[in-house]
Amino acid sequence: MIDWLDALAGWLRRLVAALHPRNLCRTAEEVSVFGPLAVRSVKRRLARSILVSLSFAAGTAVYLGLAASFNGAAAAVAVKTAEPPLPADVIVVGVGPAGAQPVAALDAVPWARDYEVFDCWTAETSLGRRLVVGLTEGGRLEAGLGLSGPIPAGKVFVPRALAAAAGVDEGAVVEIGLTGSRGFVGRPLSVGGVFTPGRAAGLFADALVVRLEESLDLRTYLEREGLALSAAGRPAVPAGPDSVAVWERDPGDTPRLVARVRKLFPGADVQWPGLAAEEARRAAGGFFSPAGVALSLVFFIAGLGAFNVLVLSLLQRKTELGVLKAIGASDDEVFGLILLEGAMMAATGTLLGLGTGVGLVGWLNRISSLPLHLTSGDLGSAVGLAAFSFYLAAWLPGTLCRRASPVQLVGGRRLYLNPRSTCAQCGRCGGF
Amino acid sequence: MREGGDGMDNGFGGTEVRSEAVRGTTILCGTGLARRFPVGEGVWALRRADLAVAEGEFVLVTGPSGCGKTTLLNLLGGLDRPTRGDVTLRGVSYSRLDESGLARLRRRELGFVFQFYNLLSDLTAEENVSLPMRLVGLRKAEIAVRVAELLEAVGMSHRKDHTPFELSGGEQQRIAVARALAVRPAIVLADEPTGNLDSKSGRDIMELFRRFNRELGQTFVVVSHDPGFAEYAHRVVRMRDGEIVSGGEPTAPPRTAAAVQGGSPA
Repeated sequence: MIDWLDALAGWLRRLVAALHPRNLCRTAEEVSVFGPLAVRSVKRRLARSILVSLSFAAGTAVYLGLAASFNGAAAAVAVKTAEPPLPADVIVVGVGPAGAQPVAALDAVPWARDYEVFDCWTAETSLGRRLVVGLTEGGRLEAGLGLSGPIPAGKVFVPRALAAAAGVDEGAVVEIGLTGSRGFVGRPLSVGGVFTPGRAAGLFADALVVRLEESLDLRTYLEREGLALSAAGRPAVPAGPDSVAVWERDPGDTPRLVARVRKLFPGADVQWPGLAAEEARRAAGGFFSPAGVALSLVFFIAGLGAFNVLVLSLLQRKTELGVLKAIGASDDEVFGLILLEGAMMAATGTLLGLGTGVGLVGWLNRISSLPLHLTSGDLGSAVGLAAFSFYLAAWLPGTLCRRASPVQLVGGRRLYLNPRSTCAQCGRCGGF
Repeated sequence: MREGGDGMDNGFGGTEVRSEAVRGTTILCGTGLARRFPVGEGVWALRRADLAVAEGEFVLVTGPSGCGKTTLLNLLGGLDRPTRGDVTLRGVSYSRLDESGLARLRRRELGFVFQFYNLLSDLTAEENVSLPMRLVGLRKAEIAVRVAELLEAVGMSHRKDHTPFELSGGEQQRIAVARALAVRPAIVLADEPTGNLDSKSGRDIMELFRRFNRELGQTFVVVSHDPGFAEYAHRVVRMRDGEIVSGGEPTAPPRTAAAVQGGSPA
């Protein structure tokens, strides 16, 4: 631990020293000496330089092209899977025939007028074309239907006569069709209860209210569910529903509501509008993660090409680099020279690749139906990956050269990454 | 290049006078030098060598192939580390220097001439000569003046814009000599500088060394397997089987500029 801290402190000291104005000036001086040398080397070995630059250009362009394709595909998936928001939190279907005056009728229900806000619309359901009434969040019905307690909630409630005619009962699955921006969307809902509409003015008042009141009665509920009370008067193991559907008028509040419901019903399968889209996005993310790795591999391959060329270049120039050391260039300066040469080639290639990639995406957008687009993050990650690949490619040749003595280089001897003589004595790897 | 060589700009902002009093002082000293290369069971290229070089001296190290001449020169030049022993240059012990310290020492105090010239192929003759001065950090104007002087001195002014590929072996070696002298090093070490040249070019190079030695008091240690070059040197060090068999210590004060008739190197 102490060693590790010492090493860290030493590293920080060196970093601070490197940032000292005096050392920055020295670095600038070194660049002024070795910069032209690197430029000359890059220009003199034009074929090699072009090869390395093209590796990076190809890597960058392919990366951007693929990234734009994935972005386009992800956007298309999100659009296709986007669902129109359900206009209510709790849905009661079949409360009256289409064309009825539900608002006026509901006005006759005292508690509804006092405590609820209604949405009414006509929808094609698996029970026929019906009038759908949505009861929004925050009212007594919502509480009664269980979003605030361990009782089954988030279901569709169907009038008894309709349920009998359609042959559905509590627990059955019906489908409600909603018209959204992308056309008809079918949404399966399970029947949470069957009620008897009121005798006179109330559309569903009496029976539903009884049903809700019954639900709110914990003792009755527990008896019906076959559960026992603990000594403290609370259920020992609240038996939550298997599935809870959450509808929130404001989609922005959905995560909060989902979290609340999950807390209430830990074992339940919680569903909400947009779940399918989110699952699609998650699935897409599951695809894009390995795709991201594949994209990184593009740079790895480009870096490998650059690495090979740089190593070959080093091996061809051992003597020259050794002479540089002999006339006084330090190990770090020679390492920096190799990095500088590689950086110039990589930077040129990356810039070329960025231009090519952006142009390629623009051209594909003209001929492809899938809209491709690049984000600034894609461009930034392309540059970052190119820089990382370049450093990996240049590190080995640079380090080999840094660690070698001038005699080794001038004499064209084999170079080993490990500067210890035992490495050369073994020699099994063959060195460079 | 200044005539006579009695007062020269030393490249670090002052004028260095190589007087008679200074000559004869030991500036380079290798003590108990041995070098073992880790090849197979290990090969002792140099078993034991004690060598002192006085300032202004022209030392020729000779011996058969494989006797350790180049290894000795590499150790004296700080290009390699000895397995045993130590080298001191103007009182600075190599063993006390880390790699960057040794690089700084080579940069300022040592000049090298190699058998295969080893000019940087990407640079012109002029740029090759100026490189050590740029590493030291001399001003551009000063570098320009000195490069012109040196190229004039080695007779290569007319080829200053040529790259090494466009020069003959003898011409490349002249440029290499100019490069070695660029920062007015304390000592120039030459490893078989004539080994890759025809006999005339080889003698021209040795003549150049002698002129710089006589007129500027430049110290030279030249390795050559050709004992015929002994006439150019103050002292001949003979080696055999990794050991110095004779001439390890200065036996007499080297000839001085005043004592030797010679023209200007320019």
